[in-house]
Amino acid sequence: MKTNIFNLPESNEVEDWVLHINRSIEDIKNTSKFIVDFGDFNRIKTEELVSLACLIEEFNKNNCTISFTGGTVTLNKYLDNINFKRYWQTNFHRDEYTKSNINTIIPLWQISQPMIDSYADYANKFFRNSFLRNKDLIPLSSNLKEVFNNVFDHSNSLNKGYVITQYYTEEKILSFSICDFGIGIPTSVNNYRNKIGKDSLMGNKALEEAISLGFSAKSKIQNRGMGLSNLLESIKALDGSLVIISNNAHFVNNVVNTFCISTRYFFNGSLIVCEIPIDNLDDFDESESIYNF
Amino acid sequence: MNIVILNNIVNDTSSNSEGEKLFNVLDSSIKQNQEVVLNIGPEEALSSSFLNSSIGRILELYGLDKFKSLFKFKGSLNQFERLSKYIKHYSEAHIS
Repeated sequence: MKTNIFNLPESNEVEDWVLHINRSIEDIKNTSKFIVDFGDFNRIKTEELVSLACLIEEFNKNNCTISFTGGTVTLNKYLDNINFKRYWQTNFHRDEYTKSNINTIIPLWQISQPMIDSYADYANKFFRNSFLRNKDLIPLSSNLKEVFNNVFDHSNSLNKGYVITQYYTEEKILSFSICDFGIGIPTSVNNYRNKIGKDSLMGNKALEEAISLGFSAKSKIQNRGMGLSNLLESIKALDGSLVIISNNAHFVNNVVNTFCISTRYFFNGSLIVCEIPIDNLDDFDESESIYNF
Repeated sequence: MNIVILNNIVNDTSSNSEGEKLFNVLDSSIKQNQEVVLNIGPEEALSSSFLNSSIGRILELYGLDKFKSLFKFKGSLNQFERLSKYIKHYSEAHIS
């Protein structure tokens, strides 16, 4: 049994991250100790952190000891503020919301099905109580719920997944990143297609189908789709950004670009990053009137 | 006319199972031909899973016209517009 050291890739290209993660997992059965070496990194993107959290969870589930090294003072302070390193300590309570030491970010949280609703509502209240008092944050909470439900209904992920929600004050952007190591969206789509006698699609086409209006992979009998298409509609309406990386598909939608491409790498799971410019959010409206549909 | 306060009948607005509770209330009202005003608070985020199991199912069973004839909405304009958009998209996707 050996020590597996995960050095963060120097480039922040998605392909390099995925390849690093895949290589690490290949060795999981022979590993007793897993060390994350942050090297000289001063900053790590939230999407990288949630995918790293999923990777660490895989080793944790395999009874490996988890430890961390490296990183600048700034980075380590940030990681402490979001309770990143504490998450795998035996006395850490995952079922409780941990206090954030900075009011622009909700700490790392492993998605838990009973807490989907409360996390989304908590995120809404958290940011309304700090920077966004007068804003309607339903797009944030409903989009979180859509992605959480997608993880539980379709991913078949054993380690559920991780989320970080953050407000970038200078850019005035509200963002969340969610990662799971499930079967992936294209695989879920193709499993359904094969079940009903249809051929599999290429990764990018399968992902496009998943996002299309009304499509459902019927992983649960009551599913009717709408989740990912609602997410996309909501982001488009706010001139926000949506990135989905799943299996061998990479989807991007923002104000300057829309594409869905097949990738050379294969990511065993899904990574979803949403960004919402707060200036495009409606004002919070507590009024009550009666409307006809 | 029956005022249904969403918060009073469901524990969350994320899951299919809670959506079924809302469905049961709406279904019962339709069977009694009773008008309903659905009251939804300004901070309630309704997931598509929840909506598909409640309002979506009503739309599929009874159609858009029946739904519109019996149901009204009480709440903020923002929430009304969101729900209206869902109803429009669901009808386009699932009701011929």
